[in-house]
Amino acid sequence: VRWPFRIRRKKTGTELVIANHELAFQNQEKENRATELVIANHELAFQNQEKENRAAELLIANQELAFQNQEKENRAAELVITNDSLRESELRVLQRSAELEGANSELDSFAYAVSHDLRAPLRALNGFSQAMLEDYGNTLDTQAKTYLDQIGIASKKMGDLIEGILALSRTTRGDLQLNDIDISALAERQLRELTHNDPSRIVSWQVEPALTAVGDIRMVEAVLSNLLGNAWKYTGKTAAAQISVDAGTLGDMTSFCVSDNGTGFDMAHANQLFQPFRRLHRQDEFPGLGIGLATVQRIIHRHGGTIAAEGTPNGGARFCFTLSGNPS
Amino acid sequence: MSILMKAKSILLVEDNPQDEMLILRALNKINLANGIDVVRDGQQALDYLYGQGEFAARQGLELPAVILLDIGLPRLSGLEVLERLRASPATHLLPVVLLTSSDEERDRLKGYENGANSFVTKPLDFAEFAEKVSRIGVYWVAVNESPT
Repeated sequence: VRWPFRIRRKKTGTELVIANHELAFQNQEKENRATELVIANHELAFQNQEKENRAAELLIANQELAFQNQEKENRAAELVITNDSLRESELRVLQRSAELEGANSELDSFAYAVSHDLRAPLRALNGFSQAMLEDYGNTLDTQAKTYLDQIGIASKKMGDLIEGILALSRTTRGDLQLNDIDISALAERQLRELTHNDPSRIVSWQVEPALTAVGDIRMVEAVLSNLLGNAWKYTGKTAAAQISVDAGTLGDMTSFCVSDNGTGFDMAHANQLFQPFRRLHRQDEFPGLGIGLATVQRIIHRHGGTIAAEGTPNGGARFCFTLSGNPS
Repeated sequence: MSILMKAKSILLVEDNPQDEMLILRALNKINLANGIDVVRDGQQALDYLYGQGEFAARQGLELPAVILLDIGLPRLSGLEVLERLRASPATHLLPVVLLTSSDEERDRLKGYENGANSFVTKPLDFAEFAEKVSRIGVYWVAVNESPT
């Protein structure tokens, strides 16, 4: 039969259409897949990039960590060194205080020996020259008596020096007994005493009220009595003498100041003021031992404070001190 | 300086010969009826008071009205002598005046702790010294009533 061929041909035409469709569809699919692949590739590339970024970040983080570890080790090593040097300086401080204590106790026994052993011969010098005057005064001429008087004057001076050395050494001895001190009241009492004991002098003085401090009362009394005694003495040749006690500043701290308008001093010599037995005036100008300000400075240093002096020749002096290293 | 005098004596314990002379001069000036005996160190003082050693002949004799006792003595110091005196029943009430060059607070306190009746510093000034010594002499032998 022939018709199936036709049919077949017809069928073949239909099949082709279908196949075409199919092909078109598959093409479309292929294109879709390709597009998807492109997108997927993009995504992959992006993720790779991300991975690389993360890797780079990790590298940096690792380096940072390594650096920090190194730092930590360095700090630890430094700490060990610091601890060592701390221990070392602690040891040095201990040694230093032991040395100081030794020096102090040596000074102490020295002062004790001075008080006993130097005083006895001095008493003999003074005693026998006076006994001579008393018992044989009638048979001595004026000149001889003058000579004996000189022995008396010299031994008195030496006695005062011994007193001064003892006073100085006592300030390094014993514990500080800290109490609240009414500086104003103390200063006023001492100025009244000075006025009472020296009625020929006319000194105008004033004390700022309500000055208070914490310190060892006996030592602070010695400080004020020395400073006020000096102010009194060195205004002895000043017309309209004035002495004042008031608050001032020393560094960043409130201080107590004793000022006068007396004979003053040259600041060029200020470094000698606080040295024992150094004096800035001749005996015939203003008598003295040169112990007072050395004692004052020691007392103030024992309290952890500082003292400073200002002066001008014939323009007065001002001494300011603190009694502790801590601002109150 | 006889210890056989009727009035009780004063015992001076002093190792410094010049202080001794000055003290004796001052005491003699006030014309006390009492004799003054002098010993020169702490051990001698104990021997004198207890009638022993070189003072064995003194045994049983009257104790002095007062002892003027220097602190800085050789062998036994004044403070040690005082301690011994207070520990012994025979002498624990004996008036003792510590005489010393020292104006140290610790010596003064120790002196009183050890039982001193008085603590007197020797002034450097002669007139003051003489005045003090004669006052001590007058007070302890003429004013004060002794315990025994």
